Amino acid sequence: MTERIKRLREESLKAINQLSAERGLLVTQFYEGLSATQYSIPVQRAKAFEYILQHKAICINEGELIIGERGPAPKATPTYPEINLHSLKDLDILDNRKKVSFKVDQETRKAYEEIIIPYWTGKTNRERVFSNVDHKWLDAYEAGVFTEFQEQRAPGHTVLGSKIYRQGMNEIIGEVGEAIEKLDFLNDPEAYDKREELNAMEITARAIIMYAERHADRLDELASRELDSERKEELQEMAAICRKIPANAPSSMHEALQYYWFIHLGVITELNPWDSFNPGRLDQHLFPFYTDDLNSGRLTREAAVELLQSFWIKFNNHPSPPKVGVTAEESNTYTDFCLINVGGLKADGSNAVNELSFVILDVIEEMRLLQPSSMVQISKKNPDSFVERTVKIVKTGFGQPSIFNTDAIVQELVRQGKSLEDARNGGASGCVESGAFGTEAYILTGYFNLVKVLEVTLHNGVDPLTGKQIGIKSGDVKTMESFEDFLAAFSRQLNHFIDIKITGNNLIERIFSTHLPVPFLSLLIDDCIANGKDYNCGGARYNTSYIQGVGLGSITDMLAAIETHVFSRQNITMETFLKVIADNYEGHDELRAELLYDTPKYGNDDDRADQHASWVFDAFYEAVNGRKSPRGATYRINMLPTTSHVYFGKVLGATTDGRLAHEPLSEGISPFQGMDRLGPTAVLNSALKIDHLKTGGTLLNQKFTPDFFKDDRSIQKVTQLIRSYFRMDGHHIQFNVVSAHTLRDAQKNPEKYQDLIVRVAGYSDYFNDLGPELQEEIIRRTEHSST
Amino acid sequence: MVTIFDIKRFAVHDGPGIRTTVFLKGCPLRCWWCHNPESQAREPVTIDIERKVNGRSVAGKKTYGEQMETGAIIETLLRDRHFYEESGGGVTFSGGEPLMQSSELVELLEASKLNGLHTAVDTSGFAKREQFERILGTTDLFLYDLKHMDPELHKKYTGVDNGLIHANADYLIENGASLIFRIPVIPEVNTSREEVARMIAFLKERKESITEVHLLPYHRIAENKYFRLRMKQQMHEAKEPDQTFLELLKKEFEKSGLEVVIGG
Repeated sequence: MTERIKRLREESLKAINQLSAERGLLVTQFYEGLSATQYSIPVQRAKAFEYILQHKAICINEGELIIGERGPAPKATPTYPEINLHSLKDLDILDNRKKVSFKVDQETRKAYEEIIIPYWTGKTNRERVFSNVDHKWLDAYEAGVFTEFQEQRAPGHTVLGSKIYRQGMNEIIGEVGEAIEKLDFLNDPEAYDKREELNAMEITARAIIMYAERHADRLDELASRELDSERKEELQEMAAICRKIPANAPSSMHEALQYYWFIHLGVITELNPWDSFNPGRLDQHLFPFYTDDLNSGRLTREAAVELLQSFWIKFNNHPSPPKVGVTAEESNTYTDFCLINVGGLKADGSNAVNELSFVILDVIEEMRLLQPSSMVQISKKNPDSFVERTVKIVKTGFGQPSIFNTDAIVQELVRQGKSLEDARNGGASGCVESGAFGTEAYILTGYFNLVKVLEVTLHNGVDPLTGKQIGIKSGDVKTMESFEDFLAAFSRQLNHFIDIKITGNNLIERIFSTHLPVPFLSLLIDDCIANGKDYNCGGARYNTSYIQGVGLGSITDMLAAIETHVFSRQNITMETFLKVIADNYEGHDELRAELLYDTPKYGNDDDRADQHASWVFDAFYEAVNGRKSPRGATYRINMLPTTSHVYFGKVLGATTDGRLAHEPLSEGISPFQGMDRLGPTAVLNSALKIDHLKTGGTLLNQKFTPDFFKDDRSIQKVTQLIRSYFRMDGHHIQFNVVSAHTLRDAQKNPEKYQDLIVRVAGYSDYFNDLGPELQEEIIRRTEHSST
Repeated sequence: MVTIFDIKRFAVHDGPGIRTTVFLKGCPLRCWWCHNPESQAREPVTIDIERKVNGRSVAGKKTYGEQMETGAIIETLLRDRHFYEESGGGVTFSGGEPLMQSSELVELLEASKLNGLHTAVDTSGFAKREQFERILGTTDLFLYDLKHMDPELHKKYTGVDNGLIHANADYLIENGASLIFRIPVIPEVNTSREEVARMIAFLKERKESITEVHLLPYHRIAENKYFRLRMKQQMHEAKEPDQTFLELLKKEFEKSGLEVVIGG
């Protein structure tokens, strides 16, 4: 690591999160000055974007090679009052809370109090959402049956393809112009809407060029004052780059990276899309520039590494925008889920691993940053040396990179209707979500609490925590004669709640289509321009809406307990079950011991338990898959929790698997914490009993002690374990490599472990930033040792 | 019916690749350092245990030993077939001394081979010649223990003579079997200069037929098991060998051109 990178990295790590009122003020000024009838909504949004980029402060940090910040300084985080409005109380909480605070200075508070709050109260999208959903939706939402992704953030969740490495914005503006010319006002009833959208796109394209030029001007200014001749030259070169891109296509690695970074800033300034935009297949996009730079002598390998490292630091400067509301428990994480993909397949189906893939792995290992997060795509066509190099980084124990099965991802995407080439150009983003990069709007809509549905079924539609009837009356379980009757009741509740969730989704989707189009993002995702349609209105080539199932391991164990004890062994009645869970197992230690130690559990390759995992998975799949949304998207499922398994556990009483009230649920498709007793092959086999190819992603977490990776032989065996799982169509696996002892010590002495990064669920986070429940859960996850 | 005391999946130290190890119950030896004391008796043993619930204890029972049909064992083994195939692994039959249940072992090995699995037998070598003869054709690899070269000391520490063990090793070698010799490394038992020299001499003579030599460092992990089983442990307060010593030992063995792995 060069001295400059060391310093910039250190600065990024030390920078304190603060809330910035800059964007909030600019967007308020813009709307205040707007006459209501002047522009169509897409053009309004484009002009707002232009206004922000025209007036926001330019931030160039000392020594940087890649420049540009979303806020006025690193970790100064903007707000999006048109989506959600922070109250003064929210600001105080953000300022004072222990975990991941965002400092709010007096000036920011004043701006909120005097300008932003008065203007936006009653006008935010969040208020629009909540005033449109019905009481059934609200009841289920408040009970924790599901969460809603678009309640505080814009639909996002997409990844850039190869477009910007081939085309400059001028050329893209040309395409927009052609699309406008082709509009058929005689026959196409949507021609006007399309023209407004396309005009909006053009405004945003010009805005990003202007924004880059503002940086060029500042760089020139800095260069003129710079005394160090080397840095002076560097600044002049960077100014030239900012005048060339994004207007024109890049022709060097430095230009390509800087171009991407301006695009990134544009997307996350336009709105606050979920799962921050990211460059996706970075080794593929950059490889031609890298080889060309090296061959022409423009760049040494060391200089290429330094550029990549500068790029890495930019991502780490951006925590995700903080939410409003007192608790924000649904996802207590503030990483922004940029996931760099390395490896995989080329569009023609051949091995995509190249020299740069290995260089990027080195960068990941050396940088050890939360953001960007990283993953490797592994196809059967990729070399073992690539997998082994990956495992050696995993061994260092900061949870990156996570490991994905390209061959499964391609099959999942093709099954959904993507062309083979588009599928191969895809990968995973966010936590584990499959997507066709550059061509798909795949929007996550919310986590779905499968366990809560079972709890409601056990109580004939009533939420036992509130006594409120939130589900249908599916029958008194005490009188059910067979396990099949019980499952049928669960199925009815499941379909009932999925209908409620989808009804809400469809409404919220239309709200975003109508009120908050994203013309800048639409420029970047094919075929929004050709279709003359916004990303939020179904303009992309492929449109998917996901509902993410949570608690598979827990619900499997609950069903196994009911089937085993009520119907097979007949040693516990349903009445007893209802009583002991109502008592939270107080005074029922022996029964609870039987449930914990002498009842089939998911994660042990035991069909007595695992059959229920496949059954629940299929029921969930049938309820969701293939349904259509208003923008023409297809509903799909995936199985990942981020941190919602903690929140979903909190809204639940004790469960029939022996879990106590309010404890976290199992995460992803992993077994309930500590219940897998037969080692990793049994866990993987259990996880393979659901059909991964029917999802858009599954998440499997395995915790290993460092000992497991101690020598080359062990690393080889981990590699083989991964290969075997992938051969059987497993989607993703990640390893937490740390000892429980270390984690305990970190709990006691957090100050000593400030750099301790652990894999949470589909992403990594600082151990110290996790809530106590999540810390406990990570410690409890079974440690597989190699002895 | 086979009496087993454990089936360990993802066994990564009992032969090549990812394996499943089936532990057959019963052993003619009584090694002082035995870390599977529950394996020694041929019959199942049930002990009282305490299970933790909310930090409180609930009484429970644990039985070491289970009668299983060959078919059920094979069914379990085949569950991990994709892991074996991907890694060049397979199944290992260990013990106890697996040849104590000789005809059951023959049946298990034949069924494994029928299903195309790579097979290994982890043996003390203390069994009748004809018992080895019966498994020669179905065993792809022998993991063969070498505990002590001195006949007197071998008898003292294990309860049996090593003559038969050495003779059986030579029988397997003569018949073209593939062998990995495994040496438990126990300070003050078999780590003296002379003892190591004797072991090396023994192995060097048979070098051409030996795939690898595994040095298995002694662990005190079994102490609690002895306590729970109410068995007397003869090996109290033995030291675990340190890493530096193991590395030196490894170098010493390697001087004779042997392929040596610490830990297997």
